[in-house]
Amino acid sequence: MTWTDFAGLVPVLILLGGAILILMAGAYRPHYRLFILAGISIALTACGVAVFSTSAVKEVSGIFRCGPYADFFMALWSLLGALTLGISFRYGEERKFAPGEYVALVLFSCVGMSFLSMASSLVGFFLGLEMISLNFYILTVFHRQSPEAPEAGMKYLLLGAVATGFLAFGIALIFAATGTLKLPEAMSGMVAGGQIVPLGLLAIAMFLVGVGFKLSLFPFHFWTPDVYQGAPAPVTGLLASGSKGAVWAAMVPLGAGLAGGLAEIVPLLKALALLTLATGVLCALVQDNIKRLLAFSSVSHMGYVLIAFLSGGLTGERAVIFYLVTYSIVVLGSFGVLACLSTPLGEPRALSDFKGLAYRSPFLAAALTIFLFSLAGIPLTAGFIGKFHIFYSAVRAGHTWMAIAGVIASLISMGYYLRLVFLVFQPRTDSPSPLAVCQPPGNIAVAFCSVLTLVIGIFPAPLLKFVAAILSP
Amino acid sequence: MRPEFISLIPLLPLGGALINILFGGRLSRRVSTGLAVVSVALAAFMVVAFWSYAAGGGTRVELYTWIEASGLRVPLVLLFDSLSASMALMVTGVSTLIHIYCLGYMSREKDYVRFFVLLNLFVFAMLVIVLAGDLLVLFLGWEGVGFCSYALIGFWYREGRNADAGQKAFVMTRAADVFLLIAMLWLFRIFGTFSIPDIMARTELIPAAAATPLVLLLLAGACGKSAQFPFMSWLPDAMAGPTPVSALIHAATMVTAGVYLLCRLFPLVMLSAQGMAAIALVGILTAGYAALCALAQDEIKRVLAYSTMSQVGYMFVALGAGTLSGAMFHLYTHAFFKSLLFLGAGCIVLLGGENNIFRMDRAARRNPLVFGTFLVGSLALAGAPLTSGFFSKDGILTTVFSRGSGLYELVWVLGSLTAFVTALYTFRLLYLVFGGKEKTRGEIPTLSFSMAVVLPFLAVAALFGGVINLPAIFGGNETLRHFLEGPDVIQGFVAHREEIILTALAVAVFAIGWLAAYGLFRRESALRDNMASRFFRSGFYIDQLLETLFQRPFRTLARFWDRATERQLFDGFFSGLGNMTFGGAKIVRRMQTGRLSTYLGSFAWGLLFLASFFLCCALGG
Repeated sequence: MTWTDFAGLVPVLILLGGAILILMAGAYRPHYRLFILAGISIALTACGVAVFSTSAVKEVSGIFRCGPYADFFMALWSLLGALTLGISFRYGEERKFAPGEYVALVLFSCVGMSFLSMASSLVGFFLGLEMISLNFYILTVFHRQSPEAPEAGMKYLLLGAVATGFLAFGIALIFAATGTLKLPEAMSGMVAGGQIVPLGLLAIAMFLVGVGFKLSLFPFHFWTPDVYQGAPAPVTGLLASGSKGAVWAAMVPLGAGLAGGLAEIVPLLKALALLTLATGVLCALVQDNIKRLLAFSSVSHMGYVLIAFLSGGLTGERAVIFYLVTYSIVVLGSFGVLACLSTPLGEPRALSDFKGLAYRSPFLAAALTIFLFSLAGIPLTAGFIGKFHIFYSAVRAGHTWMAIAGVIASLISMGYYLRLVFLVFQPRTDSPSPLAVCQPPGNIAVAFCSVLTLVIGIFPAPLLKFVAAILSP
Repeated sequence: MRPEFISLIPLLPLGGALINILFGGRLSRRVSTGLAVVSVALAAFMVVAFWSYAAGGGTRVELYTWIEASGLRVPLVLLFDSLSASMALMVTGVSTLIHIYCLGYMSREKDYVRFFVLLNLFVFAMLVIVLAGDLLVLFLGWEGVGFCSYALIGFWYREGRNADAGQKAFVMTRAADVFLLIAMLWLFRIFGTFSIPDIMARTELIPAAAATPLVLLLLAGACGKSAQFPFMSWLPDAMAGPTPVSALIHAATMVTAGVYLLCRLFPLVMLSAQGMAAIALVGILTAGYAALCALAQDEIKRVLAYSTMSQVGYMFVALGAGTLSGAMFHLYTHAFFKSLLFLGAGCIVLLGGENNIFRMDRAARRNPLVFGTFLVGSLALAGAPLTSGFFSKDGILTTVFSRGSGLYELVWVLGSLTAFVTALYTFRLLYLVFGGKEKTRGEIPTLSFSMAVVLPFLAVAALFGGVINLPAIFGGNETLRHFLEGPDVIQGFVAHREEIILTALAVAVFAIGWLAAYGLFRRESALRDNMASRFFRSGFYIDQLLETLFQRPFRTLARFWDRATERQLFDGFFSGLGNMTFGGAKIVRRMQTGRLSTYLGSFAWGLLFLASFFLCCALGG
């Protein structure tokens, strides 16, 4: 490893160094607001450096690759980190979060996401994934007074450990089958004579269990609602957006093999996508708790992304990345709204708490409406463009039925998204609402997300072009 | 100035409306109403400032591409030529005066922000129609005008009658818009573009058989907005709106949109002689019908509404006779005197305390300003010699006479008879409103300054508006006609002597009408209630006819579909679908036990599922 190698990793190193500094400073003089602001500025600096960086090297240590693809995701995850800290501003202060640890853990998980997205070897993949998971094990239970936190943390840790076991075993089998951990080669090495070698099949099965857990694919999704419900709202936001998005970012290069020898597993992925969609959509339909609803909605959205992923090709890859970018923004914004509405006594729970929100917090109600419209895929929002490209890629790849299933699923999903919108705009009854009214710092992050949702929804072309450019440099 | 700034003409009223929508509630009354007036006045100023761009072939300004899909490209194009520039000047000028009038008229209104927002939006939409260089953009303005008209007629929506009138106007004009839409799509099919100049430049591409149906479709579309036969019965009911709205929308601008549309597409209209004959026929029938109806109305605003319909009918006659400048000339003079009459009527109703001309106080006659200006407006409407209305109406009838052939001779006779009826009902109105015994009601309200101040301006325009297109025998040189350079087919081959006779005839018709009115209506008992007057007052029972012909069968049919299919079939189907989904959801939900062992078990099952799939793959392959 040389100095020029470091140059490609500067944004990650900024995040890492900043996180360590904040962690150490926290031992001396913890000041919550100051630390959050410091964390935000570190994340934004990393984001800015990533945007303007041009790395000389293609790969670092044979584990991480550099270039526009890596830079894009480093910038995106740093931005998400900054937004997460933004929506934690009041939320964490009211719950007396230890500032040094909280900020450092959020930044560390952004480092993990960046590493995961950059992985060019299964070692990097595993490292990044575990770095995310370990941080989230702690972040999930960060609010120790919360009655739901221990259950959520325990479930996440146990199931996560099992999934990691599967993943590690899968990677070991891949190495056994191919003799390499380098990414394009390891995948293509499993194909011999137009077919996947038997050991490779077992390896892929193990690997899929591990990844399926992280992405909440059916039937490995059961932890999602419990963990989402128990974790603090900003953490859930990052968990639902960044940690899943990073896995997809790492999976996109792997998907390149699907068109070739790995085509055998496409029917399996189709089945997984359909089951995931059905479970997510149907379970969300009967939820009364807002965070569980969003959890099942995120399960269903992973089903949509899987459709684009298995469609493959430049169109499919573009659809995956476009969707994960917009979905991350939207979902973080929605949890931002939840964080803004939380009082020291608790977070919004029942859907009926939202009744009449529009008359008390018009701004948050408008933002929430934009996010819900985007999740439902209604035109003029980013979600519509994202879904359109997913279905387009599916039709182009010949998976018309998958597109039709996706359309039906999003039709059903209108049921629960729009029900919430109706509640928001219903006149209030006299019972007092347990929700807080909005206050500035968190609002800035929410406003940013909602404006971005609309801007991408109305002018999607620049982002689409950019995504296509980083995919084929 | 860059030609792109022409877009400011419609954008200024839009901006005024947007600011008032967003912040109107927080601004003071003075600021928000002032903004509405100033934005329209500035738009009028911009039209004047850009006047030079209208010369020659005019200026085309392409702002940006609105729609671009394979094969369809709709740029947002503004067309600023002599026709649209002069129309825009009239629209913005009259609108400015009416906005100023509204400051006083609506001074007691609590909901003034909504009123001025709608008024500004209306001006915006009207200017979009006028300046549109593209049929699709024109159609946007067309619908926008329809919506604003609906919202303003029903402005006092708490009274069910007003809301009904708004709905009636909206539904009837929308019904006619369908024909315009069909015509537009047909044109797109022929030309592959919606651009008006492109279509007008290549009218020879239209197949001969398609010309007449196209013109008839356009005519039907124009009839909706312009309240011509058979889409006319919404206009009298539209008087439910505030009076300045009637002045602006239902006299000066929106009802002339149909005329303007036909003028805009005049080269196309001229392709079909049958189509032109139909236009003239529709125009003269409506003109005569409405004049007769106006004769028996007992509300001042309904008289004016029917007279508007009748005058717009004359404009259609002019188009049918092939004179674009004649139609536009009458459009402008009518805009002046009719908005004057409506604004005057607003004052009269305010002073008289009553809309009914038989019951109102005659207080207005003691206000010389109102009396004088209303008299000027009436004289112009009745076609008194040397007023603006005289020149424009006489010009139309002269052109019709010069066409000669059988149908146009009939139109000319009917037109002259209608002119007589027009003079008759106008003087009836004057005698009933200002003549007769005075009834006192005690205190008479005073007119606010802003209401009074606009009347003289409009009166001057109504009196001397004729100079913009003075015919040769009065020493003029037909300025407007040369400015528009309309593709007039008739180059005025009426002999000098004939023209003098026709002019003398017009004077005679006016005089006879006046004398007849003097004899009949000096005393207010006449023609009050007999079968003929009831027939005229109800508008020939057209509403009742429409009710039996269309609405009742439609309602019956709708009720049938509602009962038979909607509730039974579709509601059952969709709620069944919904219930099925929820049922499925409840089953799937049971898997979510919350127990860790179930979750771990699902891992095992999942792996088993994956592994067995791959086993099948391996064995099968």
